[in-house]
Amino acid sequence: MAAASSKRSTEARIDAFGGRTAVGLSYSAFAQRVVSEQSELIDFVEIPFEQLVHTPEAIRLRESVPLLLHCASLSIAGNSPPAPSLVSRLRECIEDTATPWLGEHLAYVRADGVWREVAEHPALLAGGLSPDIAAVPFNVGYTVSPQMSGPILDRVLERTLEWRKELKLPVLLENGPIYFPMPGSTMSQLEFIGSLCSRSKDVLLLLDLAHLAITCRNFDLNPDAVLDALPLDRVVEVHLSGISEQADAAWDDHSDAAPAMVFNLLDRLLRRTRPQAITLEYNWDNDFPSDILRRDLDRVRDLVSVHAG
Amino acid sequence: MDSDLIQAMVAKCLVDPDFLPAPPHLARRRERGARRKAKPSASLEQNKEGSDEFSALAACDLFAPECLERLALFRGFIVKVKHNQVRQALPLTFRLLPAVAEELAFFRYYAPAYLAIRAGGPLALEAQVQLMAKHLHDFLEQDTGLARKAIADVLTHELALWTLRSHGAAPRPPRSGGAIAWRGRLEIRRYGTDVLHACGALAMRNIDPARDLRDREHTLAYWRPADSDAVEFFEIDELTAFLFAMVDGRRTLEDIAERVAVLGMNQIGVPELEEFFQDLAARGFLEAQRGRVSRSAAARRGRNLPCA
Repeated sequence: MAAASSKRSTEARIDAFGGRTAVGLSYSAFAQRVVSEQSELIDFVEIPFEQLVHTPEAIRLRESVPLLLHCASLSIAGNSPPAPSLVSRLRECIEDTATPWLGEHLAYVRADGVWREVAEHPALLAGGLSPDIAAVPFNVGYTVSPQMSGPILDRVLERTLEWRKELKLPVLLENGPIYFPMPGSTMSQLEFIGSLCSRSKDVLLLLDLAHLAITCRNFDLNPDAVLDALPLDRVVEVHLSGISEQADAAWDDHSDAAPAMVFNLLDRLLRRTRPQAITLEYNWDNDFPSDILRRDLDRVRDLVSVHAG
Repeated sequence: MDSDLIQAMVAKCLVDPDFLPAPPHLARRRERGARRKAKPSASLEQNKEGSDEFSALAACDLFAPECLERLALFRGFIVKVKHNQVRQALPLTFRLLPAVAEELAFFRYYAPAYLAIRAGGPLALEAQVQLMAKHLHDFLEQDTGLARKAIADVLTHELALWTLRSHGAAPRPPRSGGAIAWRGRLEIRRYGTDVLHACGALAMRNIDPARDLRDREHTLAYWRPADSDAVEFFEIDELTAFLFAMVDGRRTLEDIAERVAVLGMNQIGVPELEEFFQDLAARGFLEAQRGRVSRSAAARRGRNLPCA
C-alpha cells in the first residue's frame, strides 16, 4: 500500500493493493490468531478506530499485515460532532495504520438531548417553539441508520466532504442495516445513497452486502434490484457477514458465516465492478471455525478470479 | 417534525432504560407493586406505561406500535453486541440462545436492567457475566419448556466452569482434628436436561434442538485441584452428591455418619464412609494426614459427639 500511504491528498487516486482485489478479515482475537498462525490466508485486517483507542497495542498487527481503518465515532448523520480530542486521536491512528481510506458509517451514534427540551415544553411538538438545545447528548454507542430525508442527506454530504478534506484521505460511507422505519424518512436508503453519489464524485462507498440483504428482508425489497440500482462504480470496499433471523426480522450477525444470499450478491456485484478490498466481518466469536474461514476466503477469491477478466 | 428531534428521540429510546415500554411481564409486576403501595382508590393509569415521558412519546403518535416493538428489539440487539466479550465465558449459551429463537427475546428483556446499571460506568467482565447470567436465569424461569430448561442448564454448566477457572480453588479452611476437607474446590450442580449431550452438539456447532435437547435428571460435580488450573467434571449419584456436600472442613467422619443415619441409611456406617473418603483421599481429592482419612481423635477415644 505504498502509493496510498505516501499520499495524504484528497486528490490521490486510491490504489491500495496494486490493482488487485484484496481479501481480509475484521479485527478480533480470532483475527489475531489467524495473523500469527496463518497470515498467508489474508491480505489485510480491518481494524476499528475504537479498538485502537481501547487497546493501542493492537497497532502491532501492522508489522505482520496491512491494516484498513474502520470508524464508528464521527456520527456523520447526527448533530453531535466528535470531540476534538477524538479527532486528534483519529488522525494519529490514520497515520499509524497507514490506511488508504477511512471506512465510516452512514449513521449516527450520538444525538443531543433535544428530547428533554420537548418533554418540558410540549408546545415544541407542535412546532410552536424553537428549542434552546443545551442538554447532555445521548450516546447510543452503536451506529443507528439515520432518517432518510433531505436535511440529513445535506448534512451527510457536507460532513463527508469536510472529513475527507480535514483527514486528508477518502472517507467511505457504509450502508447500515435498517431494522425499523425511521419516522420522517422521505426516501429509501437506495435513493439516499444514489442522491449522495450524484451530488459529488468524491462520495465513495463501503458496501456491506449483509446489511443490504437485511434491509431488503426487513422492508420486503428485492436485494438484486437494489444492488443493481446502486452506483457500484463508487464501491471501494465490500463487507460480508452472517445474518440472523429472529422475531420476524433479519439482524446483523458477525458470529456466523455469510449465507449463500450474500455470496450471490457478491457474485452479482463483481460482474459489474472490482472493489479494492473485500472484508469478512467474522469478529464476534473468538472461536470462529478456521475451516469455515478458509472455505469462505477461498470462495471470495474464486469469485474475484472468475470475474477478473 | 425536525429531523434531529426524531433522531434524538430514537437515541433516547435506545439508551434510556425507562423510555420504551417495558416487556409485558415487567409492566404487570410494576402494576402489582403500584397496587400494593397505592391506596385502593389510587389510579393505575400513571404507571400503566411505565413513565410520564413515554406517555408524551406515545401521545405524539410519532412511532407506530410495530416501530416501537422493533426499537425495543434493536435496543436488545445493541445490548447483545455489547456482550460479545461474555462469549468467552458462556460460548455455548450464546450458541444455544439463537438456535432456539430466544436470543433477541432475552436481550430485549434484559436491556433495561443492563442500561440502568451501565449508566454508572463500564462493567468488568466478571460483573458483566454475573449480571447477564442472573437476568438470563430470571428470564428462563418464566417458562418451563424444554428449550428454556436446556438453556438454563447449559448456562449453569458454563458458569460453574467459568467460576472455578476464574476464581481458583477455595482457600483451605483451618481443620479441626479429624475434619474432612477438600484439597481444592468442588461444586455440585443438578440438571433436568442432558446438558453434556447438548454441549457436545453446541461445541461441534451442530445443534438440532429437536434432536439434541432432552430431559434427563442428573447431577454433575465440578472439581479444581488446589495445585492446578484444570477443571474437570463428572456425573455422580445422589448419595455421592450428599456425601460430597457434607465435606466442609469442619465435619468429621462421625458427623457425616450421624447425618447419614438421620436419612435412614443405616447400612452406611463409619467403616463404609471411611472407605469411601479414603478412596477420595488416595485419588487426591481430600486433605489427609499421612495419606489417610481417619476417624477423629474423639471417636478413637470412644466419646459421643453432637451433630455438627
